Amino acid sequence: MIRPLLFCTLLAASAPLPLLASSFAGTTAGSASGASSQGSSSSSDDDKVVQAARGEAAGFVASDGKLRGARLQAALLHLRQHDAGAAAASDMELARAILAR
Amino acid sequence: MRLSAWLAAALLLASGSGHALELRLDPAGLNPLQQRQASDLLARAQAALPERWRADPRHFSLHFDPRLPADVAGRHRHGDLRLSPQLLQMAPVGETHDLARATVLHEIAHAFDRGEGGGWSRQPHFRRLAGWDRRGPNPYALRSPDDYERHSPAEAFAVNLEWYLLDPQYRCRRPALAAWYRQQLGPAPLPEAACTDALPLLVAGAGAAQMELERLDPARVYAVDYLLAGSGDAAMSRFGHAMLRLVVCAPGRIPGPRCRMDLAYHRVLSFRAFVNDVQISNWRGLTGAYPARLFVLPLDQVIEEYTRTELRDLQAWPLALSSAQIDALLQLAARAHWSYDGRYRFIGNNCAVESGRLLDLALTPQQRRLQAITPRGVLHRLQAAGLAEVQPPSARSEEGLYFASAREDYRQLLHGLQQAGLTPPLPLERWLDSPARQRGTLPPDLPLQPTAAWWVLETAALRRAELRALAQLKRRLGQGAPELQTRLADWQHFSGLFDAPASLLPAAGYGIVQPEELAALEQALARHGEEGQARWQALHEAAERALPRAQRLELEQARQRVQWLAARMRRLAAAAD
Repeated sequence: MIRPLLFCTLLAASAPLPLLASSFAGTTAGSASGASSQGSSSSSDDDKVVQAARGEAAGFVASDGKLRGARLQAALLHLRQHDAGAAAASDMELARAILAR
Repeated sequence: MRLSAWLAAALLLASGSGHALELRLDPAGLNPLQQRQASDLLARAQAALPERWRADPRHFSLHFDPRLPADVAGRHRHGDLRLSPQLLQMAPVGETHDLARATVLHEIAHAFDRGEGGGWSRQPHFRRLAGWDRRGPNPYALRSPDDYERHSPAEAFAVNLEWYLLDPQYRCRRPALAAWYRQQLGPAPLPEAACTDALPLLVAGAGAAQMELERLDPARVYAVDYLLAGSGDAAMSRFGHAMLRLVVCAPGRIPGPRCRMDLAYHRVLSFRAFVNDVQISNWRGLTGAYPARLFVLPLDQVIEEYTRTELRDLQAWPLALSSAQIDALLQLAARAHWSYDGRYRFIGNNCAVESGRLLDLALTPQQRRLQAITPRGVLHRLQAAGLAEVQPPSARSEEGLYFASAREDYRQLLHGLQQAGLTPPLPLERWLDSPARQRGTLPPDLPLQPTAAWWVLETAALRRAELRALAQLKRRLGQGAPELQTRLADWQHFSGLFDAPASLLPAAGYGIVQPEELAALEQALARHGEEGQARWQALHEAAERALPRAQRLELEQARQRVQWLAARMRRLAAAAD
């Protein structure tokens, strides 16, 4: 039931306090960049969805539409939701569009 | 001012209900100035105590003892608190954790904990929240405000109480413990810092040394699934792997069942990922020593590795969790992500045990009911607890709950090519593992459909060739290959820096990373990503050079075939019919 002094003194000397103190002001440093789980769909999101579906889109095209994996389905939903042109296109047209990217 | 302020505070406390905690200062050995400083310090400490303790009618005696060893700030025994006189020379520092006040609070915490009505540090719930959630030492060594907390549960109780009472950000940095203290002792008399909801996590990127900072907003997590990888075919027969899948909704989508198909945004929490199981990247597996920590991976990457490289199924079992339970789970996952020391290796701790433990901590910290030593065992516990359905969920791909091994797809595609007389009539595995020239000659005028089929199959063949090369390199490492060994040592040293996400941050912060720490983290990530890429490249080249010539040529040929097919497929798909 003792509390060592040495470590805490070192901790104080390495100055965590100003850092902690500055946080009270509620700074938002760092929030300007990087991935966020909120916000609208970006072109990099599009790229990721399409890239992830590429293998399954190839299987779909190669099998005349018989093989439809989950990531292809997810990509079809994504494309139809974000692109008015895609909403009217067939699954095969969209799968080919994914391969063409 | 100090003395009168203290007197006023003491009077105030003594009045009211007539019950109040009394801190009796023994003035022996203190000059008048020191006495005033001591009284002031005690008053400041007392003011920081939770109301329940301030109103407690017991008394503790305190004296400042110059005979305490030089490295000891305070000591408690049977309600008698001894403190180092050095504490009196320390000026109070704003509102945050100052050592003098913290020491007094620390010793008061011990006195209450050991006294009548105490025993908080012996509660299993507390012990598990504080990191004693397994046999052996407390492994939550990183991003600790004070490493002394890992000495024992009693010290953890006292150290964390200091921070709970003195640091308004404690509830953001250690939310689970803060909630526990609040429930046990009442609120800390502190201004409450506003916490951001987003939990920063490092997610594995596409490149070798690449990690991306993601701010995971718990409100965007619609559900959590228990994700099980099947044990694969006989040749790769394994134990299976247990993970947790976070069903994160796409930006702009209102959380609901439709989030299930936002696969690109889903994340997987995987303990000891890919150590002796699937390698996150086939070539990355060369380094062998993946650290034991909580990995966060994009679901897409996990599906790709399991279903298309390992040819194993993935089944998701949705868990019946409330949103409060999901929040608790995410907070504990973030704690494990940032604080769990990857250098610890626990024999007998596998992905199943760790996943079950995390769920237990989040759902029923008082008891262990979800821990088992196999992935299936944990599933059975989840089912028995009513958290998972007994029947396997839908296998239809549009439900996003089952991701089938690509074997059947590959078989059909190969069959099509064989029917067309394009490839020799070999069974799938034999074809995939044959040298390039035996897989068939690529006709220059191949139409789109067979091009797409062949591209899928050649990609699979290349991956398997890489796995074989990797296995061979592992065997050769023991016997020479000095350049590779040097590069490997260099890479291991470098990637050791990634053992724990916390190693990328300055030492000052503790617990869950706060917004003001993120700028430094992003800079460190960018720097390490660049450096890592160069080292990875060097290692990769050394690895290829260490391969027997025939195997090197084989890999190169397979890559050229994949490239040619990919380019042709893109061109044909873009052309109008």
